[in-house]
Amino acid sequence: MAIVSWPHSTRIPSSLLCIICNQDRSPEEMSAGLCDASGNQAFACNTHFWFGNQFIMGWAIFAARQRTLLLQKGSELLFNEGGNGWMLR
Amino acid sequence: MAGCYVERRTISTNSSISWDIAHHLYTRQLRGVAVVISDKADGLLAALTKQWYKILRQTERQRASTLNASRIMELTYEIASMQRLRFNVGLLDGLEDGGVFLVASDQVKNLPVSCHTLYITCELDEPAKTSLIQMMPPGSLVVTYV
Repeated sequence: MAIVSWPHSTRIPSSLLCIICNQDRSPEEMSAGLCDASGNQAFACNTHFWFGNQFIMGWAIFAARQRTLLLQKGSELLFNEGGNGWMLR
Repeated sequence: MAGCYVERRTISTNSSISWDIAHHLYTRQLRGVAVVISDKADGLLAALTKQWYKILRQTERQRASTLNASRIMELTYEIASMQRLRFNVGLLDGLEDGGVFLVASDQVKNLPVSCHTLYITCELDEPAKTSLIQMMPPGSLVVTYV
């Protein structure tokens, strides 16, 4: 179980961050999941697959955080500089 | 395989392909359409759906066991998106905005535009595999089982 190819032929990084245990691991031990709010691919250790509750909760927390970040980004675009300018007019 | 991540997975003795795909899908369910290429699409549909509902029940149990309001909210989002996910055999025109499609290797010629995850569970010749991967959007994921 391993990440064997990376987009656009760039070299596979020597270590990837697990979003569940926050440890750097070799790509050979990782599995690809969702993307984060910036559009970067997120990874988690394969071993978490075997620990049902930790696995479910880990990805649920990650998905919720990224959803919140995306909403914040959206509201910043709407209500920050441009939005404030619009409200002060 | 220019714009895709490729992940190679193996099935251990105490798991099955449906178990592994269901768990992997849990991490990918919010990313567009997923296509599973299998020689036994009908059989895999039943097994995959069963495994999916097992994970769903596990998620519901976990939500029921916590008193943390933010955890309850996070798991509620997951449960809602899990319940929305539909499993189909064959690629259906017009219903390709979400869900999982299980297709036989000889039936798959095109992939839905929003296909971000492709599971290859059977032998596929290299030209066919390359042409399918080229149809996928940049940053998508191809999972091959060996």
